Amino acid sequence: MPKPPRTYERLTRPATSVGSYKTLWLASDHLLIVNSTGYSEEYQRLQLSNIRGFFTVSSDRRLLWYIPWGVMALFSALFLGNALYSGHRSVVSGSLLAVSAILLLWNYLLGPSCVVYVVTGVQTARLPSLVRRRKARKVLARLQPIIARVQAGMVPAQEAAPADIPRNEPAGPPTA
Amino acid sequence: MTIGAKLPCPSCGRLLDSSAWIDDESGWCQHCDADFDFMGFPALDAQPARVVPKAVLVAEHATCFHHPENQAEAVCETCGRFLCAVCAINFAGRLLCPECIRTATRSDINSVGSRVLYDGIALSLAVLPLLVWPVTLVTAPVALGSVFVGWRKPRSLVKGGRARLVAAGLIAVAEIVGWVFLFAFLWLRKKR
Repeated sequence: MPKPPRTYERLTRPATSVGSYKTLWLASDHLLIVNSTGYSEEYQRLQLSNIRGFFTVSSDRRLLWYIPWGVMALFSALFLGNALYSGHRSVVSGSLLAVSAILLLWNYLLGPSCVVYVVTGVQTARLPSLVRRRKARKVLARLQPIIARVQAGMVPAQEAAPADIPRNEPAGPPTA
Repeated sequence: MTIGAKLPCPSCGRLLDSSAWIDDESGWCQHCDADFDFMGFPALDAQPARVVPKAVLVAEHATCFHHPENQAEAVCETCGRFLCAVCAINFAGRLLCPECIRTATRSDINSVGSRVLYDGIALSLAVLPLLVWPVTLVTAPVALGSVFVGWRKPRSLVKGGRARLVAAGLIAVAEIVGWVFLFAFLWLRKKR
């Protein structure tokens, strides 16, 4: 089978969920949401011409990630303190404390979290790989001129001339 | 405020009335208390595409294959049937009839819904069993088989290369060679 042409450009890195990860890709005329398990991929396409807008809503994701790393940091600090107080060295507790501190800092540096929804004429779908505001702003700023260019020829409903509608009575939609 | 009550709240799904909007780019849902930012595009206010076929007025008019009462306005680029405005559909830059679209969607990359990643399967079969290495006696040939099966199969739409298949194949071959050496060594030692 010939190598398929590279038609997609990556917009986001994988955002993990239970058993799968999701990425967002851009083609010339559509967005592609890829849900991958590592063994199979499912694709969802959103035509740029159909996109009416993006909603960005704040989420608790950052706060929720603080909990496991915070608990891990707290317990490893307690064990490390106890070991130091007893005059022992504790490499494991020290390493765990360092790792959890790095993860806490990483979670902080990624910035506030959010959920982004794309609105089309028939659906409001979530963009699962956009979970941090900074990244979402960056991606949406990149998409904004592209979508505006694709939709440049669209006429607002209130400006559409009634004379555009034909007068003769045709047959309805296909029945076959 | 131009957006008004056209859109549902992304969190609770209820229609946002005009009082929910602070300006064109942000608002607050009174039902679920969610703050939101919004980026709108011309499609939000655009006139919905309206396809209106022309009725046959004189007997000499060519008619649609599916609707004899409608004038033919286009020709299907695959089968050549005459089509009215309702039946002529722009599909991936070509004007096709519904039957030809049905056929085209089976192979067109713009309509593929899912793909099996043989490279991922082969690589997992080659690498993960190394944690319990005796299992590789079975999994290495299976991984190699997956490489052969996956080589000519359609790959991921977004990561089209064969690098992972090659890596899986090399690891599987190395494992098989390792087993061959181990069995040869044990057989020679027993013979002595």
